[in-house]
Amino acid sequence: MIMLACQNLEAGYSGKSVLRDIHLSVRAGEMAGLLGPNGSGKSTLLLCLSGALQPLRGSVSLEGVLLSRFGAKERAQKIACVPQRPAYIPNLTVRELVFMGRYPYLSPFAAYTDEDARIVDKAMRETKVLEFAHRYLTELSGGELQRAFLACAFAQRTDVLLLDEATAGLDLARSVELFTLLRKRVTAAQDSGNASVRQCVVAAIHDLNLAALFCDRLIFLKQGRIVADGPTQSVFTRDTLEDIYETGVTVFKHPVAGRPQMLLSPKA
Amino acid sequence: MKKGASRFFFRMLIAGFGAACVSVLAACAIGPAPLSLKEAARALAEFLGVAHMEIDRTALIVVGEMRLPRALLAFFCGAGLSMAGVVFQGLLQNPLADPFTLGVSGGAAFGASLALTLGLPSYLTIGGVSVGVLSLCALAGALLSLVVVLFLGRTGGGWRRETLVLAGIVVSSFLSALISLVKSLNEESVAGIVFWIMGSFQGRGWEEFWLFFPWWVVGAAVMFAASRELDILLLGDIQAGRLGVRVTRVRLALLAAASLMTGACVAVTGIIGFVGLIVPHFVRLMQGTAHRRLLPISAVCGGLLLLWADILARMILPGGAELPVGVITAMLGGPFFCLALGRRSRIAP
Repeated sequence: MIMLACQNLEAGYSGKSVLRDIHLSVRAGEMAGLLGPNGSGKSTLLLCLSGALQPLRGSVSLEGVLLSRFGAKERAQKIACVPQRPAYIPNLTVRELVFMGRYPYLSPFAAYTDEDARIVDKAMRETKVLEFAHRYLTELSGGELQRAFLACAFAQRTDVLLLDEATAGLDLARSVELFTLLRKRVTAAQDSGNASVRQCVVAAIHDLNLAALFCDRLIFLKQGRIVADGPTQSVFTRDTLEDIYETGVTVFKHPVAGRPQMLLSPKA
Repeated sequence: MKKGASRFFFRMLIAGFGAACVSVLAACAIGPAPLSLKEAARALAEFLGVAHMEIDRTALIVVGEMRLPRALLAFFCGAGLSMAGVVFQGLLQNPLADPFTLGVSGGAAFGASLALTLGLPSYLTIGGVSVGVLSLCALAGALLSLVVVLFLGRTGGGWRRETLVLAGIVVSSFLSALISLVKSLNEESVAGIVFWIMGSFQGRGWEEFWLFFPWWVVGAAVMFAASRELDILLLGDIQAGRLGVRVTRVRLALLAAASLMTGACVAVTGIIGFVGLIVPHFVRLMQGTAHRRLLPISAVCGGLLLLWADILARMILPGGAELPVGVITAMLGGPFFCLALGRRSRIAP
């Protein structure tokens, strides 16, 4: 089943388009990596997919319904987004932040229920932020902050999870942990065969090898257009990468995982 | 939420409420022709009709018609200015923002003084409902100067904290000059001008209190209703939108409520600076930024601060003369502003 779809999407800021001719559909159970050089439009695409930016032309739809048709809270029950490290970090505790993930489910003037508290605790356990739940965000390291935002997104209980450079600022072990966690969410949905589970992940990633290791599908953006999109095995090739990143690379098979990996091989 | 935090919050609130009652009583007792606390309490009880007391008529008038409304006005103005400060700081993610530094108080004072100079009535009855014209003019002035300040202070698509305050100070000074000019042309005394620029509660009574209080209630209701959204907006507009907040609508409602609150205060008291700067910072230090708790505690603390500042203003000069209460808050607020200027992360919103 198709969860997110873009048709002929053109988007940008103050009338100037950054993205052009975007056709894209993301199915339930998919974990897609969004790759591309700096300024290729990854963040802009995520803004459109999360409904935070109105397209200039074309459409974004969720389960066949135009994204603009959803109310703000209704949309937030379906799509969650882990942002890049924010410019301003408020003086709130981790727990207070994660509770914001329950806001889309809150009717006006109501208070959070025990059920909300249970979901928040579970999200914090999954992302391993429970032990510093009462610390202030301003006191956290980059990696801890990233996980706190992930916990907030988990607490939203959405089908679609978008991540904008989620591994920026994470060390190796934490990056692997994060992606293992995301994979588990998605594959649990695949294996259960339960039609009501419709998890999918779209993650903008800077690290090519990490993306190739964990994502089944890679989407490459360059200068605002999709230049390659397909199963990791078939698009993660030397020709594609050299073309997109304009530098020499060597692609080889991971000796254990069997997935393609790359090394930089600058032409002298 | 967190059990300990919420217990602490309720203790603070109850302690604050108790302190407020005692302080109002003290404010009723202190002044030229001082009364004992017992006399003041008896006069209060008689005036409010809770108990029938044999009491001196002068004491009854002094307490019921002069000191009580003044004390209540001071308390609720302090509460209102503090809450407006909380909202401005949160919405602009700027620890230096408050009604005074943003020029909102200046705008409100100009609007109100213009209305008085033009001789507009303070009430207008439309279809049986009386509307406070003075407060509306103050609100218009407040909103207008807020728009100008936000426009002037905008740099590169956002608001840098120092630039914004700079714009606020410029607009404030300009408006103070305008107030002085308008008042001078109207051949008013220097005292009348000083009243607007360095606010005071001198001679304020029930009439001013009822002119002010309904607006206070409206402003406070909007702020409390949006306290959760205030928290989420701290994450920035984009992320707030992704969490389901209707950002533009909430922002406009909150800016209007904070301006309304400021306008209502300033229209009856003149400009009282820095209350909205000092109080929220202290409260944040004690118990964090979560607005659900920050707003009520700041309101109570702000009320207490301004109430005692007013008591001080009445007592400090010998011979029964009064100091404008704005002098006292500015003397407290100036040094505090410098403290907030140095980046102290825990007191930021």
